Amino acid sequence: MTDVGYVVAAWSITGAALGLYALRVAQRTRRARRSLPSDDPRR
Amino acid sequence: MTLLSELWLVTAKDLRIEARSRVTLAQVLPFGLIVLILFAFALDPDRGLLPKVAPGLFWVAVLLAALLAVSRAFSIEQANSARDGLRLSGLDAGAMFLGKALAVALQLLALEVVLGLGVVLFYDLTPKAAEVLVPAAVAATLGLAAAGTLYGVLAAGLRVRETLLPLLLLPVLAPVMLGATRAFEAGLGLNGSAGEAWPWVELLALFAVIYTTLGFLAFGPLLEEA
Amino acid sequence: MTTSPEVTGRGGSSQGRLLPAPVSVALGWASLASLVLLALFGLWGAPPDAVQGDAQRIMYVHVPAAWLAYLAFGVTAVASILYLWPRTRSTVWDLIAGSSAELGVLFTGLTLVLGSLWGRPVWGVWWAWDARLTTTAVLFFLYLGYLSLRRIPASPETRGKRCAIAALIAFVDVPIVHLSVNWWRTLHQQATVFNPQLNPEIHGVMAFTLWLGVLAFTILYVYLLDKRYRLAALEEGQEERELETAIAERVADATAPTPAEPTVGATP
Repeated sequence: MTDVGYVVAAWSITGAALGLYALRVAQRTRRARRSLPSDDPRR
Repeated sequence: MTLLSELWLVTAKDLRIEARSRVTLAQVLPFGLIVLILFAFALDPDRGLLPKVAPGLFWVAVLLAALLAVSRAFSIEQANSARDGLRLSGLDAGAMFLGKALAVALQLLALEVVLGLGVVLFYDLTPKAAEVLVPAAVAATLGLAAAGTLYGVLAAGLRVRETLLPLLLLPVLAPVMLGATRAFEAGLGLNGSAGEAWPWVELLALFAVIYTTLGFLAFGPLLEEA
Repeated sequence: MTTSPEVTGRGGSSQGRLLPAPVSVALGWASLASLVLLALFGLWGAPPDAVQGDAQRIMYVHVPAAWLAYLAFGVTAVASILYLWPRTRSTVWDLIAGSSAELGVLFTGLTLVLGSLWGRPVWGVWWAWDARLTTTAVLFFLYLGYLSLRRIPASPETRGKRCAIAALIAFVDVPIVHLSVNWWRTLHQQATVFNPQLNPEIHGVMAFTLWLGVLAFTILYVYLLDKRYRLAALEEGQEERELETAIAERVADATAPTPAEPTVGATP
């Protein structure tokens, strides 16, 4: 693996980790919102 | 009642329970010895490695045994709503914490004596510099017991207690592991001279003071919720 | 099961969010933009290091990740204190503490992985037992345990209190761990085989890129904290309602009329 390989791997993992985390939070939020009664102020 | 007498009341209670049930003696101690033996299997005794790494192995065995000892200290409060009994007893929460921690510490110290003998026997290690090793062991054990009792009450009554307590406690004990091993290595002449052990003993004492204080303050609120 | 505003935090943080919606959206875009800018500078704009070569570019994400981890855990500690302090007690702080800790663990894990990927080309090894790495590894497990504690089945008050105390004990432990590991690795010379010296004289574009990284990650952290807080508030509400429903069902079962008798005030 050349140095460039490590750099690409590092930045890709960073992007993937942060992106996947954000997506997961969004997904769980959507699911939680659906289960709330429509008059809940926290929606 | 004074703090000291309340403290002693709790310590005596826990030790009495141990005297009657002999769980630490019959289960935790053999566990510690088995761990020492397993290390010999893992590290091939013929390569002269064991005496060199003996302090580290000793303290790992003590740490693992401490997990069991702390867990036991709170499982004895499980039956017959004993925890509620403690809460309603009117005893000072800080005194209760110190009392329980002291009981754990005394049991651990007794354990360490036997495990130490085990190390001398099994790992062919010549003991020396007791004037360094004893303070180091006492300071380390007080820290172990304080942090252990604090996390023990934090995890008390939870269904996942058995797996959660080790996960919570071991990272916190990293400095104790470090300091105790380095102090023993220095004292036994494996890594530096006996004089170099003292900074580590100070670190161990610092850790013990901090966690005893934290436990003293937090035990009451935690016991309420347990 | 209390549903008073003080406990549920509805009064404290309206509609279960930390930031107003427009601010959150703006921050989302801002973090995306700054991260793209960081990538441009980090991967292309900044020159390769004289000593470390291109591998140094990993520092532009590794260092911000590490700083953010510490920031996140600091926020957890402060929020935990505010939760424990009777005058400021509110579920809001409990949820912030938990959300920030989760982000902290994420950033810490990222720090460790990125550090490894940097270490391999530069030091020749995936790992070294120096003070910073070792402390970071212990930090990771300290707060991983905290996250496990957050999932225990208990009332919000019980769980909140235990978690807050656990967060503070963990926080106090970090400097002790760092101190002890530092002594360990510097007392004897053989420990300095791997001397991880970030070039302290970092100039010009490289310094700018590093600061850009810290800024970008900080904006991202605030944005994610708000999002994660919202999720936590929603899930807490869900838990409350599930419990109320379960209680109601049990009461209904208990007071259910037998065939021959009329119901006698069987309202849950």
